[in-house]
This record gives sequence, C-alpha cells and structure tokens, in this order.
Amino acid sequence: MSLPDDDERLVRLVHDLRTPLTVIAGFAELLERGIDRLTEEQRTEYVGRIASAARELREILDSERAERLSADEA
Amino acid sequence: MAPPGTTPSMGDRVTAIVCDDAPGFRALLSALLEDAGVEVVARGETWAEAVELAPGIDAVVVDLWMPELELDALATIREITRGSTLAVVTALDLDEARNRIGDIDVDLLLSKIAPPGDVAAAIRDNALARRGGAPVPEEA
Repeated sequence: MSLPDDDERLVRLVHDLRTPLTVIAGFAELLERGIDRLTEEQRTEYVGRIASAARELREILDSERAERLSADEA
Repeated sequence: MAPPGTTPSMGDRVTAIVCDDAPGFRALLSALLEDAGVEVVARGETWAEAVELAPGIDAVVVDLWMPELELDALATIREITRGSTLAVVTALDLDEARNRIGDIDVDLLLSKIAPPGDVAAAIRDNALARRGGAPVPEEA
C-alpha cells in the first residue's frame, strides 16, 4: 500500500538516519586519528557517543518497520 | 555576553557556538572544531538559544532543523553576525536545504554527511579569512 505522503516520509527518514550515521563515523574518525593523544575521559565519551548513535539508528529502523507493517495491515 | 552587532573576538583562537538539537552531532561538531583549533564557547539546542548566543562570536554554527526550520530566527542571526561566519549544517540534501533557506545569505551550507573533519576545517578557514580580511573560502 502506498502512503500519500511517502516522499516527505522518505526525506524525513533519510534525514533522521544521516545524523546518527555521521555521529558514528565522526567519533570513530576522531578515535582513529587521535588514539594516542586523547585522554581516557575523551575515549570513553567518544565510544559512548558511538554506542548511543547506534542505538538511535536501531530505534529509527525498528520504528519505520513497525509503521510499514501497520500501514500494510490497514 | 556582548550586545548584538559587536565585532567578533580578536583573541588568538577563533570562537564558535554550535547549536543543534541532536546531542550526538552537537558533541561531534564541537569535538571536531576543538580538534581543528577552534574554541567552542557555548552550545545550544534551539533557535532561541542560537539567537541569544550569536553576538560577538567568530563562527555561528546552526543546524537547519531544530526541530524545524525557523526562517525568521535564521534571518535574525544573519543580521547579528554580519562580519562573522554563519554556517548552516544539515542532514537534508543541499539543494533541498538551499530551497528552504531561500534568499537568506548564509556563508556556509554544509552537509552532515560530508567528511566531518572537512566540515570543521571549512568553518575554521571561513572564520579566519573573515577575521583577517582575506578572500573567503568557497563552501566545502
């Protein structure tokens, strides 16, 4: 079933996915680049940010899947 | 806090504020700017905070979607930051973002999916050029 606002939903979904993806890539880059000079506190924070962004991605995808299933059943 | 319209800091380091309602990206961009030698003096998560924090800063960095685009707030920030750098970051496609901004004259429109280090470097270089009167770099 095609939703009437599919295009806008897709724009929103892509937007919502990009931010946590960028956070994961960016903090990984910082860790890779500065692994020797970062403090223990910074390393811990950056790893935590990566884990948090990964959880956010999973939640977005789970939510999108649930909405799709609900729309298909309607 | 300096009143609106004051000139940006003339200290050694470029100063910046970062406003984004996504805490992870706000932290990332702050860390990248610090890594690039920029002093991030404040962070915010709303358009109202961005307007309040913008005066006297070398580089004002705002997310386009906090949680929606507020064109009036963006235009106000532009007026406050004449002479300093106004950088807009977005997870939208850049053409889509340009359309939504319309004729508001931002200095940098940067994609959140660009290499993160390049985004921070573009902001720093634009602010340094404005401060030094050198030609302003093109968008990254």
